[in-house]
Amino acid sequence: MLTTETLWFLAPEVILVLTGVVLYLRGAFGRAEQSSPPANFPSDSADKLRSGAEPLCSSGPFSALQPPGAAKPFGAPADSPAEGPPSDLGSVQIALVGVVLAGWMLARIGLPAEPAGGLILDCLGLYLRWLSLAVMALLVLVGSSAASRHQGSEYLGTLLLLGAGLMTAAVADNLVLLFLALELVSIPTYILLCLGRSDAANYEAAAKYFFLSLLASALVLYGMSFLYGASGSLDLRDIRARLAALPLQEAYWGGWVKIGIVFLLAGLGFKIAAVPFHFYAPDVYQGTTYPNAAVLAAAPKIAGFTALVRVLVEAIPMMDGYTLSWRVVMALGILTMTLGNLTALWQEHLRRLLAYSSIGQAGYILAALTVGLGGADVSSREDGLAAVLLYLAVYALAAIGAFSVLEGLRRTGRPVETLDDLAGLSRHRPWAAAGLAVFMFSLAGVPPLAGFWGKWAVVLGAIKTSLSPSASPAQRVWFMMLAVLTMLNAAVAAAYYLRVAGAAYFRPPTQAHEAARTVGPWIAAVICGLVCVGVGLMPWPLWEAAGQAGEPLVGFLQPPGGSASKADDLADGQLRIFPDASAWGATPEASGFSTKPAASPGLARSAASAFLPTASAHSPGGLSVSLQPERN
Amino acid sequence: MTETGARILLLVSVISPAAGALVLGRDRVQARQSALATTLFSLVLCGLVIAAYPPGAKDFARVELPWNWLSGPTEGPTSPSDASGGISLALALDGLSLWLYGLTALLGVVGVLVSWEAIQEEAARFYRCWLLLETGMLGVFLAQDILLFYVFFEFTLVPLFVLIGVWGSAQRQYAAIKFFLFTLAGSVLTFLGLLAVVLWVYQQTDRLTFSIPVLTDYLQNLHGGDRMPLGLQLVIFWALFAGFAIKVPLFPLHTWLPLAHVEAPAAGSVVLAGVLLKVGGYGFLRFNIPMLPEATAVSMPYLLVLSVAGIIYGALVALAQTDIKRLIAYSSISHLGFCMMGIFALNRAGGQGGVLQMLNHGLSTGALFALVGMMYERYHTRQMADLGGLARRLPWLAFFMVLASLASIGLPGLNGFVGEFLSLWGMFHRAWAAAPEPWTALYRILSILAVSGVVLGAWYMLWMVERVFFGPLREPGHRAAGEGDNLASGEEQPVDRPGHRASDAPLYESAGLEDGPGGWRGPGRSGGPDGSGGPGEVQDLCWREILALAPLGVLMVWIGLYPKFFLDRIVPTAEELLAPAARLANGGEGLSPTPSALSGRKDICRQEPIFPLPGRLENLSLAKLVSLGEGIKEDRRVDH
Repeated sequence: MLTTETLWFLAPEVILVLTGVVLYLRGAFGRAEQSSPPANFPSDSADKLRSGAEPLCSSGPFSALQPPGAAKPFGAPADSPAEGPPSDLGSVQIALVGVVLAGWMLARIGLPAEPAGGLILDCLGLYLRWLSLAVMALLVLVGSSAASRHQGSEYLGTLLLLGAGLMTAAVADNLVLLFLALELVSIPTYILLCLGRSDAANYEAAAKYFFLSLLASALVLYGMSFLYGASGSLDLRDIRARLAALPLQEAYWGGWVKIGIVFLLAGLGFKIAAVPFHFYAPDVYQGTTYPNAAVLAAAPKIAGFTALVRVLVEAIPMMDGYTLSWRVVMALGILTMTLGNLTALWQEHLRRLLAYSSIGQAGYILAALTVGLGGADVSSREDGLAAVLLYLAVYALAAIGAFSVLEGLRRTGRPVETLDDLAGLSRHRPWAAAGLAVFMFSLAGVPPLAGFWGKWAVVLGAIKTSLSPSASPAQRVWFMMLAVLTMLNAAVAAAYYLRVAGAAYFRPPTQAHEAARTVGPWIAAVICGLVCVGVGLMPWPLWEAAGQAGEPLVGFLQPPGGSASKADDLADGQLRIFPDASAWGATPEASGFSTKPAASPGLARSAASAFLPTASAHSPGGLSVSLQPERN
Repeated sequence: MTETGARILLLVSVISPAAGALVLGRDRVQARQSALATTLFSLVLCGLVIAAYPPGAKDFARVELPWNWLSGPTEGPTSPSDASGGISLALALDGLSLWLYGLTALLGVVGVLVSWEAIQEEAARFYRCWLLLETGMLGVFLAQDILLFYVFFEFTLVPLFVLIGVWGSAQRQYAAIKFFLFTLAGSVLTFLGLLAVVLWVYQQTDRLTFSIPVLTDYLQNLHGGDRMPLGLQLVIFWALFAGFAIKVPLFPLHTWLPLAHVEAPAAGSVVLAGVLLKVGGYGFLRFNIPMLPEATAVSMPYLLVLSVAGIIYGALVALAQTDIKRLIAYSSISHLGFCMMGIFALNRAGGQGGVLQMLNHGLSTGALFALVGMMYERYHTRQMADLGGLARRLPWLAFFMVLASLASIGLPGLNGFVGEFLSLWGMFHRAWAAAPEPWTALYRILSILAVSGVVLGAWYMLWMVERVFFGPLREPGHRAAGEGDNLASGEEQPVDRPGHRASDAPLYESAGLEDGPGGWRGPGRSGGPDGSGGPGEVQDLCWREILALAPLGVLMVWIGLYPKFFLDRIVPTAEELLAPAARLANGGEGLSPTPSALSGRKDICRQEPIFPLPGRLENLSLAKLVSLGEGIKEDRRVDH
């Protein structure tokens, strides 16, 4: 369990929470002179619901009603063009300082040698924490334009709480902590959605998300209870050891574990917007604001995939012949990417289109996870997991970038909402158009942008499994199909990404675009754009970081009886495509395939070690000392 | 010049257009001047590299950037054989890429000259896209690494997408998106195929390398090891086929091409026909045939059927066109059918014919598209019915048009003849001297049908020239407005197409981009926008336009009269690439050759019998044509 001694390792999260509290206090006391008192959400919305007018949106069960006299088109913001009070720069500064402090703490903690009870402080956790923190910094910048409306400091404070949840999920070692972390992501999301705008569409979105997310959380909890019931433990690795110790003949743990896995997948599928559980996403994205859509596109996905990787890989032993996980995940992945991409083709509303796009992208990540769970050998699975991590990063980057560009644009004082609103963008704001195009092409996977390397890693892993001599016939066929479907989906997806880019470049201009008055989204867009292009041209730092982050899971990718050492894999001729710590060593087989990094301590090494501060200092064996699966 | 010098020039010639795109001037005049300077600079460097190329060299002027895409900086250039794996950023030349590289640089300059006046709207952005496109195209032909090839391959799509979509004519958005999606849909399958090749070798050797020479060597069994099983080869072959055949385009996959050509601005058409379609043939020769010889030999009949179907189909549809640009677009399908037929005949004559025909097609069709663009600038119509007798009014334009048409028909003495003749020769040889048993009849029928493509080609091209350039003078300006409208919105034209006559100029000028035909403003028509300028003021080609066309014309005649200079540099590489598949195709021992027949191929393929044609074919010139009959006879003797 978590002890006070190990609480130190959660310092970055604590800093984020404290900063969030400071922001709340600032909102409560420091801003009394400022404008309109914050609307009291529940009673306010209840008023609106009571006051009754024609139904606005019949697409969901929570169709909201429009306040009388405000005949605005669906999705149009209720804010006046003047956007309320001027930008609340102080809150943004406080939030950014908090994020930077957390980053500083995280860099100091790094990969501690001593075991921390209740936490898994491995490369994977570190990678995900850095990713979450980077995403959080970008989201604060994007949200800074929301901070210019009322309740800015509350908005940013909530955002930081969400960040703390994300980072905790990355290191959670048992089911309870994992669930708490997921809730720490979900609950702030509800608040953010309510703080977004004050019109009916927004409250509908918030209510829809709230109820469905509650259901999903309940499903996750229910699934976890089955895992606990079957194994008698809450600790992830303990569960694994106990399950592995059960006699296999009990039809894989008597079916209870399977039920647990399915419930977990359903609940987490909601968070990542996988297809049968995706229905909320388009409505919610459309109903809310761009900063909130950016949060929804990035944060729950990172949390969901973190939890999926932790539970499916670390808690469920991969016995020989156990295929449930990868089959279900593959089915989810294929469904998700196909449906998401096909539906996106017909969208006109930008946030709705990007919502379907984010569904499609989740499908690709699920495809990578399929390889991670069902690859032919340990090295393939490791590559698959590394592809999940790589893809998460490049996806989050491009998605946040796209939302921040759109947030930064105004047209006659209103946000751009539909494809038509983008017409002539390249004339009025060539740089915004260029940025949007970069993000769209990156999401579409056009080289040489970051998104290409994500798709590349996914497909490479799938084909590798399909061609592997140790793959079963079913694996050969299914993984080849997965690769083909992934690429065909990429081609389909290019169609709607092109529509967005085409609208910005080809459609004749009608009205001029203005820039929003806040500069935050533009800073975020510039950062995302530069990193997108930079990672596209120089992918190796991220590539190596993702490869290393997958490294500690190697012990969990084979039946618990097997050895967890890398040397055995090398002896079997199983080589990874992603670089890892041992490939950096002097193993003769390893030095042949990737590079001779020992002799080139240049940019890659330093960049990777900046990302994973202590990884390069570790010997390959030392890393797994605290990670032995059979701890008890 | 030393090879080190060539290395530097090669690298600079690829990078300079992209660098030029970054520092382009802001207004139209500055932009076009600096674009011209950049492309000329690149062309000069390219000419120097080509001059330094020793015939037969492989991996000439190899430059490898000192970093690896997977693992970061490396210690410096390595030779391809000891490439340590990963994704190296390596460029090099060989006989296959040499002329395509030169052609790209040349058409880069031609495109800028063609767009000189034609592009008025947002010229700086146009030239920026143009220069980026040029870097992408140069890179495609030079990349020595599969992933680098793919990156350049995809990268060319984006600028061309913008070129078509912004500066094209009425249906430009639809054409741009269709072009992009068609190509992308094929290329994702190609991508899977390429990855499968890489990963299969990886499974065999535990070495993850993307280097094209290394993979080719391994797959040709030069270092021992197992052959790739035929089933897998076929799967990969057809996956690669998807992308390359769409690019060529081979017959059933050609539907994007006419639309893209018709809607693209003139420079876009020039480069699309001249260079981008060559990427398909290049891909077949670089990947499919050398890497998957068994699959190539097995698939040969089907590919030949598709090629010949394309020849006939393209020619027949071209006959029915009323729009000149559309006619040339369909003629491209026909000509590229010859290309592919020659290549898939898998023998020496066919191989050199196919490669040379790629170059020829780039020259003659590039010139034709440029000429159509110039006519369009003057008359704002491309309808043959609107035009007639232009030879009297525009003698220079007519001269170049006739020259390019004759070259594309294949008049002896011009380049088209050499290419088509060699391709046909290869096909005939395959059909009558070296056809494997079950396919003899099919091949013979195909070879005869292919000849009809030459006849049809002469028919539609000469008919077009006759209608447009000879006979009584007919210009759009002579007509009453109503009549002109009817004609202008004739068949095959979108309904919303504005009548492209000078009197309509104010209409689309005021309406901006959405109504007007892209950036097309006729400079040749010196009359005012109110239509006061009569047809008498249509000018013949100016020095700039002649300068754009002259190098193409010179090359057409040069290749026609003395192809040896070009073939000398193509032959050794083409032979090496085709040898394994050719050997299998000639082997005659059924269609599933045993691995034992493949071992030690490198030594065998140097011997003559693999290519049972007389060895002197590369010396082909007009003087030698007389003795061709003897050559064929001798050749059949050798065979039996």
